[in-house]
Amino acid sequence: MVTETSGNRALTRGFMSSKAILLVLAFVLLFLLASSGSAAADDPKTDKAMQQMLAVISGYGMKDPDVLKAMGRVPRHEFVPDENRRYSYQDTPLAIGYGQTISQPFIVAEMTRQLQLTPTSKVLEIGTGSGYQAAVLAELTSRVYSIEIIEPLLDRARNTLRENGYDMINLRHGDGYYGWPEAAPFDGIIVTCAAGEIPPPLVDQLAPGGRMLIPVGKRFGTQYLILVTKDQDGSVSSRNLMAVRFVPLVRK
Amino acid sequence: MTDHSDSPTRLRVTVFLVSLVTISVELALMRELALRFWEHLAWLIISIALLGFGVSGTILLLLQRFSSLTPPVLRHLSLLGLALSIPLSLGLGQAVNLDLIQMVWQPTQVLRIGLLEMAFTLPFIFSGMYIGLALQDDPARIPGHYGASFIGSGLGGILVLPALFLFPPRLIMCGCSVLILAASLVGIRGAARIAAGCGTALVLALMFWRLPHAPQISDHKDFPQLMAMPGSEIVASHSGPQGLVQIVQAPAFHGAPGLSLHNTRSLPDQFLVILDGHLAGTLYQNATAEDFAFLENTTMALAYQLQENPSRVLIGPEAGTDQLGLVLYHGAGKITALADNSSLAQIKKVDMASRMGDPYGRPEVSLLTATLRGYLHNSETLYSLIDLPMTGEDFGGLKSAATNALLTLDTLRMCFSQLAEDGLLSITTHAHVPPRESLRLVNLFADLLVDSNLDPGAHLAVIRSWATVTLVAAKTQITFEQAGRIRSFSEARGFDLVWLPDISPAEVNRFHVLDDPQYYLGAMSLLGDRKSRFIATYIYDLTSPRDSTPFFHHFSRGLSFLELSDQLGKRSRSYAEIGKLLLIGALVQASLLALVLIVLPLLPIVGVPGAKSEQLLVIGFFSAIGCGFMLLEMSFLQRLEMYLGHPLYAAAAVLSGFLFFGGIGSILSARIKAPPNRRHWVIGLAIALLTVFYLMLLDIFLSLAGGAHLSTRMATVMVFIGPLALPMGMMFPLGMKRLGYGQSKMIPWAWSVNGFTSVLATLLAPLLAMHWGFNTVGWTAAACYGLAALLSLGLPTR
Repeated sequence: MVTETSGNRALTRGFMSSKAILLVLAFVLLFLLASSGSAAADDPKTDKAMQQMLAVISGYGMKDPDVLKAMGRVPRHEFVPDENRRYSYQDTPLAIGYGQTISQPFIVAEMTRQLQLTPTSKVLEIGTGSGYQAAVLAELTSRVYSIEIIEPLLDRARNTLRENGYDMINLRHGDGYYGWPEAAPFDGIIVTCAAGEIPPPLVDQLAPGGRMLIPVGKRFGTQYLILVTKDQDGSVSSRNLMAVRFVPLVRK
Repeated sequence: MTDHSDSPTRLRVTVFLVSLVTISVELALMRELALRFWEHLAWLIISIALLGFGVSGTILLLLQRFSSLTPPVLRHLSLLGLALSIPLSLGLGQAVNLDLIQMVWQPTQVLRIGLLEMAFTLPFIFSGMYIGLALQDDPARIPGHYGASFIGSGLGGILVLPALFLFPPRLIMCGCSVLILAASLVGIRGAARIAAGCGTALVLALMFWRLPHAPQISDHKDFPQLMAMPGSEIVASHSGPQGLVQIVQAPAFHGAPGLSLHNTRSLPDQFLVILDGHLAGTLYQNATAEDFAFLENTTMALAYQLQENPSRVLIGPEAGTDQLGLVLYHGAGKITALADNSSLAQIKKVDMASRMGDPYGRPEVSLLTATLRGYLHNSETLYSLIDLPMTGEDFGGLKSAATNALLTLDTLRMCFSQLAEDGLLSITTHAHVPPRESLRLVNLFADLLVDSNLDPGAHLAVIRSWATVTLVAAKTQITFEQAGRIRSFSEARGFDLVWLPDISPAEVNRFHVLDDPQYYLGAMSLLGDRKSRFIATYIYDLTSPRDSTPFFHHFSRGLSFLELSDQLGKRSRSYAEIGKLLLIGALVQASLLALVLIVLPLLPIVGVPGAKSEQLLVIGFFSAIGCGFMLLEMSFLQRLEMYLGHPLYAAAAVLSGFLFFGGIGSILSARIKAPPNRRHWVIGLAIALLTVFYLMLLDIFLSLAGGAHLSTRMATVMVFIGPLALPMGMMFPLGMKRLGYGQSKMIPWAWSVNGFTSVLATLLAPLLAMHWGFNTVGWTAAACYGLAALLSLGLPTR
């Protein structure tokens, strides 16, 4: 009896504990899901739009789960000026003022994927712009440095990043061409503004084994995404990854 | 209809002024669109002007049927309308938010071309109405009015060019508006007219006050982007018929084309050359020859691996000073640098000289204002190196409809013939994937070498960086030693070999890695036995451009967009040629507008009188001469652009020439004594034969004054156009006169179908030329006149 009772109790305890575990797991899952769409939690429509945006990016073949998860955590609409906010989750670049844009989400995803970041990587972004790309990078590593040449843009990005909990990103006002020598070398460098050239100082500041992503070409022509890699012996080579040009720029 | 209220002299002077203003506005509008969008939109403005003239005919018909206003009142109103419509059209045009680059992604953008056409057609409607009304004056005075109109048109085309050196296009247009208002006010009587004149002056003043001084430059151009950078400022500026040249100091801009990733040398501070809003080149601040050492780390330095210190160098018309800097660094004995833009030459030689360290003032350097072809025509010097200006920048396919006089087989032949025995011909292009300009250049150089009885594989060297491709064709076979130097040079800088006489597959695609060694494979095919097959099957059309098809930047085949879609999937839209799409969009919409505004209103107003065969005959005849005239005018315009060096020069010379001599032809047609039937047939046939004659002798004729000063070349063009335009101007008035004998009810139809087909042909001509060449356009025009000659046999004779 005792045994049986004990057995029943044991069974019941076992059932109860497994139920509790399941409940805890379900809670954790719900929490994770909720946090993975922090913007979405506020607004189901935004959440749906974000999921659609991620589906579009996946549809292009960009299926890296870490990058998708990182992008799913960053509320893009917070980085877009009010007048273009309704387009926040469309796969298009958007004007953010001062003649600059927030990149097309697919390009953000692809460039981030190509950096092959680990949680300990040190990454430099040239062209903070809205701060969105820096936020996505900060979801993957805590060592993010970002330079912006247009001071009012940097101030706005700094505020947006702070309001969204990305205080750990190192921001600086300056000419990205010269990089951030004090913090070099970097495991990854990402140039998010359209550049005509590959700046030699940035190549210098790339760590052995590091990767630099840079779109080159005319802004309204066909741009190419170029990957520059530095081998362990310091030798540098590059690769044309894809044509990234031009998708419509949505303005006010 | 006799007009007693205006003296014949006053009417004639006003006709002269209206014609002068019309052509001035037409040419100034070309500059306006060039600054805002792109320079090669001349055909759009010409079609807009023709549309306006066609619509004016319909409006006059309506007014005469349904209004009691007298011709003098209508003329006065037309003048006031013309004065007002010039700034109004600028304002309306500004409001049309056309974004050419977005056309591929947002098809509704195409509809905005139609809106732009409607906005800019307004002044031409009013000038067409005024001239149309003036030509309804006493028949005895009409030849004089015609003469005044054609002299005005001819003079307007010539005067506007120097005016553009002094004033911006908008100011010229506003000046035209004031001139017309003044003409309408001179000697007016009656309170209503004076009140209308004063009211118009007031409205004009308000419009001028509200109108921005310059058009809004497209956001996609470089200028707005560069000026958004901190510290950017304009340090020099010159405006002229060839464009607005601005020199911008942008401290945050750093760059050299395709600079090696291994470069460790610093770049001098830069000034940017902005031409009509586009970044065209770079000047360097106080740079000595040694400061240009960084250029040794670009592929442009390839030629100097074959000849370390060339004795005489000719630099094609580059906008910046990169090519000059490289020669200075290598210390050539004598350097001739060309500038095909006089404003830019003035800036380089004078305005910016002290800031740049005066490189063009050095004893070994001569900077000449000339086109490359013009210069070569006059020069007997043999050069060790001819360095052509960099090409291949991707403007989203906008340049596809533009001619390029530099990159044709005929120009390269001229260059090659002026090379010394061991001379080199060099060019650098931007690199694209899939390769496009670079492979077309390989093919062009291969054709050039074959023409010169040389083995292209043994005389060509090609290398590439991550962003540029440089080709050098050598007169002598590339030696083993020279190839070795190229290998060392490339290896040290991380440049990839594309072609060397003894190249092996293991040497290619090592530093800037592509999925396939596309450049090498392409070059190997183009320089070997598989050339024809490769050209036939490659994704882009790589055929060598010639003078008859000088569209270097046009790569798409007829239906190649479908092939592109197959190969590039969703990315294929990035490769669409916007220039061609724009042309097709404008053609469709202008045709629809012309149909709706010119042809269809006739149905309820005049119906379709006469028997079916008569209708077909009249419509066929007037369509044929409308089409033939504009096909010829447009093909001359594009063809002579290469000869005169700029689209606006060609437009001024060709429009003025055709209007002037065509007008004289119209006047003379009234004096021909032969029976109308015979003279009409003979004139039509003469035009067709003359066109064929011109097609065969055009190049020879043009070469006679190829190296002359611009004014001489423009005069030559006008003289050349004369014998052809003169009989062309006779066909229309003779046809109208003959309709008056027995089919006068068909006159409005004749007018409208002629206007409709003229608009159509204006836009069709560049499309035909892009695909089949100018000669095909010329043959089509000759066929049109041949057909018109035949059809004229059936028109009424008395």
